[in-house]
Amino acid sequence: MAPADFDPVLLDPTRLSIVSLLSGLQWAEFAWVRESVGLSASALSKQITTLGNHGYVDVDKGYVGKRPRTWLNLSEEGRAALETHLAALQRVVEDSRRAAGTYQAKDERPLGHG
Amino acid sequence: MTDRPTPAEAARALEEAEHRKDQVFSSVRESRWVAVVFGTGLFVCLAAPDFFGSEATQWTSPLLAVLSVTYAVMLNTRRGSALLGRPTRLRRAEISPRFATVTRVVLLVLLAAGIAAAFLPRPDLPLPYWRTVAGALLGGFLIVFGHRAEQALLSFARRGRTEGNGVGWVHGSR
Repeated sequence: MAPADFDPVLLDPTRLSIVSLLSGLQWAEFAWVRESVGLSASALSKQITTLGNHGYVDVDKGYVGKRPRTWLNLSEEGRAALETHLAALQRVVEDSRRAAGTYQAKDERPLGHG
Repeated sequence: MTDRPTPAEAARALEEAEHRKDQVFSSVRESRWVAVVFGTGLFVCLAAPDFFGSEATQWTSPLLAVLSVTYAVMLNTRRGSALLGRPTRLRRAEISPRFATVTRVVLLVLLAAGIAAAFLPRPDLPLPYWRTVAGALLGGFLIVFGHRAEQALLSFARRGRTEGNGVGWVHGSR
């Protein structure tokens, strides 16, 4: 399989977690994502900046009353990248399972037929 | 993880991605005050005709409609959701199409039943203050069990991994 199938940005487990979390949502508050993935605000901020630079995550800032809020949502580009990346991961698992099955079948062949 | 993950790493990553997606459903929650306001509103609207006569329905029905529309509008905006204490908004694609269809049919049947009931003659129930009792039961249920009922509905609404919603995946590790 070509390495290009894997998204280098999503090979990082933390970024994959963030993107997977956002994939089921229209939007999520920054604080909720931070709590869900168990990162500090600054660590999450760094990851969001990386994802944002690649166009995977859109950031919207605003106020609710006097309190500042940040909302995150997965862009269409990010969704497509996640889909491709997960399909590539799925292929690795399936190839490995198929190879294991072939290996096992060879092992189980009666000795007299060789 | 390297440029090409090993099968074990790939399986772990898929498992983690799946877990994160499931986590989204448990995020659907809101502040307690929302259930209290709606439960109390429902109780007041249902009980009002018992205390103020049948003309009270002139303001109870619009009040319920205003409450419902305001809630729906707030749910669909980020700031409104934040005010309700909802940190996330679930994508429609995550809801099972079968569940969505059943819900629409149930709502339409309830609407039709409500309209039909408005035109049918209502026999007087022998139980005094039955509207108050109904209001207390419905409002109380909403306040006490509202969140649990929502979570139960969401567990039915959850789209199966095999239903195909774009970023659904099956890696066969479960």
